Amino acid sequence: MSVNFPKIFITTACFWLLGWFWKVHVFAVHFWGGLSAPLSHGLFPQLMLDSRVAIFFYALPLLIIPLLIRLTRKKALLAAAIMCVSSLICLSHIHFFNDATFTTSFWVSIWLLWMAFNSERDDREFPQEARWLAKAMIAVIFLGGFIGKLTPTYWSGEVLHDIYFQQKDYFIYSWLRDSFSEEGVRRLATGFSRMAIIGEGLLVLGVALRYRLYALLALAVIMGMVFISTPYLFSVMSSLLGMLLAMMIGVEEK
Amino acid sequence: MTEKKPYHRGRSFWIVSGLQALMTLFIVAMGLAPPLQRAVMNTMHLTTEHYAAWVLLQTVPKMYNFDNEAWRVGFTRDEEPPVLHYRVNHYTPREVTFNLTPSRVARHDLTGEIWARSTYRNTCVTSAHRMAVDPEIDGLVVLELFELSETLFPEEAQPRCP
Repeated sequence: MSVNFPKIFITTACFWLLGWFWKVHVFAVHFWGGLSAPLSHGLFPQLMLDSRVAIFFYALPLLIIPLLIRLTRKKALLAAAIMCVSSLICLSHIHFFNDATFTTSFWVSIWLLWMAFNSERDDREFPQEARWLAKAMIAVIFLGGFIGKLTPTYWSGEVLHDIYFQQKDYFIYSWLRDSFSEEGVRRLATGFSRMAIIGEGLLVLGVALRYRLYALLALAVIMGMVFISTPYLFSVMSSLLGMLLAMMIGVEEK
Repeated sequence: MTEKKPYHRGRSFWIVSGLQALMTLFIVAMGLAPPLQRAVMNTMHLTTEHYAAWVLLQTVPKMYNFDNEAWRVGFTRDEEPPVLHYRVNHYTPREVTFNLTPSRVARHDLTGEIWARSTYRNTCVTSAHRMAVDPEIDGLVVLELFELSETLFPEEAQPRCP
């Protein structure tokens, strides 16, 4: 197997950036609110309450774009470091703490940092290690959701019925509410919730599968989740999709 | 003929694998140990005691973890404001931090409370935050923890752990 490092790094970074800025219109309103009415909370240090810090670290990854042109090891290391620091700061800031986008971005940036650090290797173990670490990243991220849902109210569908089938305005849920009885919607919610748990479980246990098979499974589960959730979920999943796709197209079997 | 040296995985591989293994162990242990479940729930309620510990727990992937409910009271000039009760995917105070609620509170000098409960099997955590304009600093909106017994609003709908 041979590794096309620039292809892998640039593909993942582009998906990472796409996810990062996917909700920029939502964050712009949020920043405006934060600047006009600063928020104070006893847990956070002053800097992590400041909207200007949030705006700076949210915008910082824009610097990655010029670094991706004629990519070298040094540029890749710098780009991955920017991603890592920005996502860590954002997930620790009062303006962003609730958004899983920054958690997935953080873990993918660690993988990119490792890739950049090892980019000059040409041994045959390099693609195997890169693939294993990519699979393990996906498995760890979904393990969190899988374990957290192993509770009767998720298995019965009650939680997702409230969050999705009752509260969401997304067209699928409006259509379902209009087309099915309350009992029918509840049954759908049960199926949806169980599918989510099983899907996440498969991504955890599937780590033992061959890379290509695992990547196809993960792509199907993730895209399914984005489609039946809301398009906003793409911001959380985009970096994961990028990493999976990059390792499919950037490693050539010889 | 030179003999090819056996390959040894580099230190960076073991560092990243080690981080992944630690996270896996933590998440699996969280599923079994109520103190870890409470620690993660406290992260989601912004009730962790130390900021450094909170940041560390922020790196734990927790999409749609636990059964989380929020009660939103106030944030209006009505004398008898309704209690809005609903489920949320993870972080309960998000309901008042991640939107224009603070600027509405500042503009109209409102007060509101967000009560929250997270449950996971036999573990349960509740919390209550109050949001109001700081009387001393112009334009600053304070979100602070308080004891539910001190609520400004009717108590009958308060969250309790079973």
